[in-house]
Formats: sequence, structure tokens, C-alpha cells
Amino acid sequence: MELTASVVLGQAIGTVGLGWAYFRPWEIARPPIGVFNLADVLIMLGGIVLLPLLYLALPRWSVAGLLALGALSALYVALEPIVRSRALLWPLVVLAVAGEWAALARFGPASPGYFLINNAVLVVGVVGVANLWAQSGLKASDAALLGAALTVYDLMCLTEVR
Amino acid sequence: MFETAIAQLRFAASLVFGLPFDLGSLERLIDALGATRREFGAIGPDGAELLGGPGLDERDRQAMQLRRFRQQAVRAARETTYYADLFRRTGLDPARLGYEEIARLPPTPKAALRDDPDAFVRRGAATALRATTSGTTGRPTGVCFSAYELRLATALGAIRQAFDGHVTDRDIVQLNASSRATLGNLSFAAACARVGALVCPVGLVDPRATLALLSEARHVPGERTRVSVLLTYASYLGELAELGPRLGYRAADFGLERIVVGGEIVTAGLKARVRQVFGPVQFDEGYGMTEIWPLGGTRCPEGHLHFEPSQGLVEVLDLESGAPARPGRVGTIVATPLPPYRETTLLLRYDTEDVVRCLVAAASCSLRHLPATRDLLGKFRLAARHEHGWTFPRDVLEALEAVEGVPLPAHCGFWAVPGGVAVEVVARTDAPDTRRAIERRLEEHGVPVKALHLVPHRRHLRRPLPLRCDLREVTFDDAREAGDPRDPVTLEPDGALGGVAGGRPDGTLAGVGGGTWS
Repeated sequence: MELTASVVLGQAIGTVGLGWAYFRPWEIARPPIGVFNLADVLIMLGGIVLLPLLYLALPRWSVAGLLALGALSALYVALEPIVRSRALLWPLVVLAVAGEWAALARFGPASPGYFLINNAVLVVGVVGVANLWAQSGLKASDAALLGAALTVYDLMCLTEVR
Repeated sequence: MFETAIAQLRFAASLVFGLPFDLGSLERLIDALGATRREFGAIGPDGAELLGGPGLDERDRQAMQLRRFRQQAVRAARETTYYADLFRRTGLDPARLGYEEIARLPPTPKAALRDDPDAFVRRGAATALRATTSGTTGRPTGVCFSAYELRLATALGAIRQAFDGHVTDRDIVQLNASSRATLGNLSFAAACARVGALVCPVGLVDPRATLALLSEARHVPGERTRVSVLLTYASYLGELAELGPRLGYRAADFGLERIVVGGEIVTAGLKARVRQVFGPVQFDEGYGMTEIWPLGGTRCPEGHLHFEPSQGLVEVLDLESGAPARPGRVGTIVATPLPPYRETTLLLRYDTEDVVRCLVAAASCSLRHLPATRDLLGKFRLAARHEHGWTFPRDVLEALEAVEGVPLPAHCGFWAVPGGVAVEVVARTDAPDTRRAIERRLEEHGVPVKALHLVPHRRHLRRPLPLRCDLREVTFDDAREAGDPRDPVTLEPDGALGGVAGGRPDGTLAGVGGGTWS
């Protein structure tokens, strides 16, 4: 239990550190017009609340497809400024997602091998998305609001699950 | 960002499919452009593609324009008295016009619109404003617009300003244009105000008052300390440039960064001499007129006039044959403003009488994706035909305004004589050096000058070109001064102010009179 908590905490700290390190040297391709504002935060929160309900209603293969698409997009966003060649970028992104899928199939969802690959993909994706928001003009106050709302949402979900 | 993406999609749908613009989406785009500029300092290079519509090849452009021309023609034939009669007489079916057949529809002359503007207004249109032209080519023409069109004019203008960043929320914008130029004044002022600038409508008042306002220190929090953007006509700008130094103004007295100038021929000589007075200002030039709004030309750095195909169909008809002008030939612009921009006063193939030269080869400039012509040459009725071809107002004005011996704006006239043209111009002196300099410049600009008349004052001109600076607006200050307040400020040929003891930058001088050579 302590090891699990340490891994989760270490991963969280590592993600924040990597996101910070990523911010200055790499510039993510943002939309040319518009900034990430409070309306976007609210729309995103609505999506976070509603999407799981949608997943429950959808067949499993389509949920897996949607999640894979999300992971692909997040990885692409994060790696694009680093791997400048598109010919190299897409195979790399597909390889990462395919590797995760292979680990899941080979070792199972609770195996350390799967966790290793899945968590690595998660960290890179989160670094990319967080930087996309930050570099698209997300204000600190809006980020704080997002964090607070997610905390409340997580607590509610946790209580409900119990 | 999500809302912005939706607004962009809605905007693109109007550009591509001709759907009416959603004014709420345009407002969101203006806000998003402002927020982007505040956050990042500039709009990304891809923004131009998002806002400018798709780059179309010739075939797609023709198909799109034909579709919208038909739509406008059907409306016009059904809902306006002028075109109902025209289509009946010509026997053309507006719904079945082919691209080549558009040329069979007779151009709409200026006189037809001027004489009966209501004949071009759609039945049932929600008219909100009848704007008038400045009338420099005759009696002013009335053109009706709806509230939608007016709001669209403002929104599109604001999007342009917010995108280019030429006017920002820190700017102080002064408008020195005729108050009769309602549409241009309203849309420009509202667009500037929409992006947060402070707008100061002044009008075509005594240039001394304008210079005083331009140099006046402002203390509005968050704004620049002097007027930073000026909108005016070329001839009025010439008056300011001529008068400023005589009143003791120097470039350091002004804070101008940008001059939006139009309505007349803008010459290289004028711009160079204006920069000597106001410092290194940027010029925004273009082509537009009330009748065909919002269709207008954007001038690129290479001097082409580019036209956005979704806004209207622009044809150039050869001066001699009336057929579409071939590459390199001169002709008049015949313009059809298209939906979804125009819904009230419908004009099909409107003859602007503005002469341009067609490009010889495809443009290679930054706006090469847009159809283009060479820069404006002037009004057809002011051109002179002679044995060697045509001489246009631009040919003469470019030559004259480059000569220091000619006071700005160049008060001049020209007409055909055997073997070329006769040119008359107000000059500071009739000294041989001045005469030679003017003759040399005219020759350099291809004007076959056979007679050159230098005169000391504009009242001696026999056929003066009309200048918009003469649309002078009188103030109570003028009325308190000696002489007829409607007399425009004029300078002695040597540049001195007649009847004035000396100039002061506070612009409190009075009593400027006409000139004679000493």
C-alpha cells in the first residue's frame, strides 16, 4: 500500500516537474486565434462530468477507441515540438499506444509492465495537455478553479463508489 | 477558445457558402482577436487563412462568384424597379446566367443610381441609413443600407483592425474626412472604438485647427499622449504637410504613427513630403466607395489593388472597346457587391468610372491569392485622350507632387492638345528651374506635355481637378476670423502665409489669404 502511494505521489511530482521543464524550451502549436478562458474551463468540466456517463452507455470497443484517440492526441501535442519530423512523429505516437495495448494484452491490467507503459504515456500526455492550456493563455485563477472543481468531483465520485 | 472555434466555423460558413453573417459570432471573433493580441502580442500566421476565407483557384472562384451573382441578380430582378426593367428589356434570365453571359448585362451607370437611388432598393428591405457619397464627381449619390449591413460594416472593420493590429486600444484616432462620407466615417469610427481606441471625429475643418489637435498633448489614462492614427484624404493631408512647417511645427510636435488615406490618388511624392513633416509614419491605402461597399481594394506593398472575391465581382472593362480588358490594358472598374454582404441597395455591374491597368502577369506578392489590378489611375472623365494614348490624373499628380516647387496638394489641371497634353499647376514660382523640374518629372511619368502653365494661385486654373480638401467644414472659430471662412487656407507660392505675421504650434493663426508671385 505504501509502495503504491509512493509511486502515485512520485508520478504526480514527476509530472509537475516535467511539465515545468517542458514549458520554456518547447512551444506547443496553439490555435492562432483565441485564448483558453473560463468558458473553456467550464466546458471541460462539463465534459469531465458527462463523458463517463457516456462511456457507460457506449459499447466497450467504442470507449476504448475514444480513449485511444484521446491518448494519441495528447501524445501528439506533447511530442510535436520535440520531434519536428511528421514522418517520425506519427509512428512514434502510434508505437507508444500500441505498446500500451500490447502490454495490456500480454501482461494484464494489474501487471507492473502495463503500469510502467501506461503511466509513462499518461505522464507525457498530461505534460502536453497542461502545457497546451498554459501556453494558450489559461489564467492561474482559472487553473485554480479547475483544480478545485476536479477535487470536489473526485471526492464526490469516491464517496459514491464506496 | 471553444467559443472562438465555433465563431470561426460560423464565419467560414458565411464566406464559403454565402450564408448571412451571424453578428454575435463576429463579436466573439473580435473579442478573441483582442484577447489573443493582449496575451501573445500577435495573431498567429495561420489566422489570416482562418479569417480570409479559402484561397480559390480561378475555376472555383468563378463558380462561387457566378452562384452569388445569380442569387443577387434574381433578387434584383424580382425586388428592384431598375433591374426588373433591365432584365425585361435585355431578355436575360438572371437565374440562368453563365459566367461569360454576365458581360452581356449592361453596366449600371453612376448617373442611374444618382438620379433614382430608390430604384435600386429591394422591396421590403429594412432600410436604416441613406448614406451619401462626397459628390466630387457630381451631385452626391444616396445609397441605402440596413441595420444589419451597418453592424456588419463595423464588425468586419473591427476584425480587420484587431487582426492587423494597426489600431489598438491605446490609439487615439482622429478623423478628418467630410462629414457627408457617412458610411466610411461611421464604420471606421465604430470599428476603432470597438477595438478600444479613442476616436476623435473632427471633419474637414481649417487645417490649422487640425494641426493644433494633432500636436495637442492628451492625458487619457491608458492611451497614447498624442493622436496616433489619422484618417483623411490625400489632398487634405497635402494641406497639412504644406502648412505644418510654415506654422513652425516639427516632427517632434506630433505622435502620428499611421495615416489611413484614401478617396483620392495618393502619390509617392505626397507620402515622402508628409514623412518630412510628421516623421516616419505608416500609410494605409486602399480603394473603396460607398456605392459598392464592402467591396474594396487592398493595396499591397507592390502597389497592386487586390479584391476579395467573396465580397464582390470585379471586372475591368477596356476604355476603348468596353470589353473585358486584356492584360496590361487600362479600363474602368465595374463592380458587383455580392451577398451575404449586400442586401438592401443592389447593384449589378456598377460602373465606378475608376480607371486601373490590368496586370501583365500574375501577381507574386503576399496577396497573390486574390485577384488584382495595378493601382488606381483616376476617374475616367478626368483623363485626357491624345495621339500618344491616355494621360490619367495619377500620371500628372505623381509627377507634380514629387516636385518641391509645387505646393501640396497639387492644384492642377490637364487636357489634350495636339501632340500631347497641356498641364497647368499652381507653383511656388515661375522660375526656369521650377519649370524644368516639373517638365522633367512629367516626362519621367510618361506625360507628353506640350504646354505647361505655371500659375500663382488656384483661382487662375482653367480646368482644376476636384480635390476633397475643398469640402471644407466651417466652425465658429472660422466665423470670428477675417475674410470669408469658406475660403480654404492657401499659401503664397513661395510657401509663406499670406497676411500672417508668423506661425505658432498652437495653431492660433488667422487671416490667411491668396497668393501672387513677387
